[in-house]
Amino acid sequence: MVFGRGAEKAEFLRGKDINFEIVPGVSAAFAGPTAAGIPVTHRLLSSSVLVVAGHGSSDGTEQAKVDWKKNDRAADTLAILMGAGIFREIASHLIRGGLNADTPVAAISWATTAKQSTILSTLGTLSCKSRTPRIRPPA
Amino acid sequence: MIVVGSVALFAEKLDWFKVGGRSTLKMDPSTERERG
Repeated sequence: MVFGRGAEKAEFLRGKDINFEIVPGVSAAFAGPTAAGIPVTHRLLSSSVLVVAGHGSSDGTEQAKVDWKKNDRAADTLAILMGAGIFREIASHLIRGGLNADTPVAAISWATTAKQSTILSTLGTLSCKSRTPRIRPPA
Repeated sequence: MIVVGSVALFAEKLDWFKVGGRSTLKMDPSTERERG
């Protein structure tokens, strides 16, 4: 289970003695890039991928703050979900953490649907407020 | 979501997912200008 509070929901149901079934599937962290033609790993370019939640929980019950300094060099590829409203801030964090402004970025929304959109950009462009492309969730 | 890293460029190389026969890929205008 990756994000989406799957484990929390399962824990809650188990605690209430309510039967449930978990259907294994492919995470959007990998299905989304694949639909956009992007391999998150590549034998010559990327031997590791880190899946990151763009923000912590938003309901105020807890806050798992994203440690961008820890994440920005932790893997060759970063797959950042749930950050559609704050991509500019995320890009700025990553540049401040040492990633080059020319680092390619693909912003994917509505993956695998008729509304799929992929915008190819760079961290530098995403970090600049006036130039940030509009990316709508789910992204 | 965003994918950060050199593999993101494959979005242009392997642009296979078409909707109504059309690509879903857009180049960010600023980035496109910088690339010439």
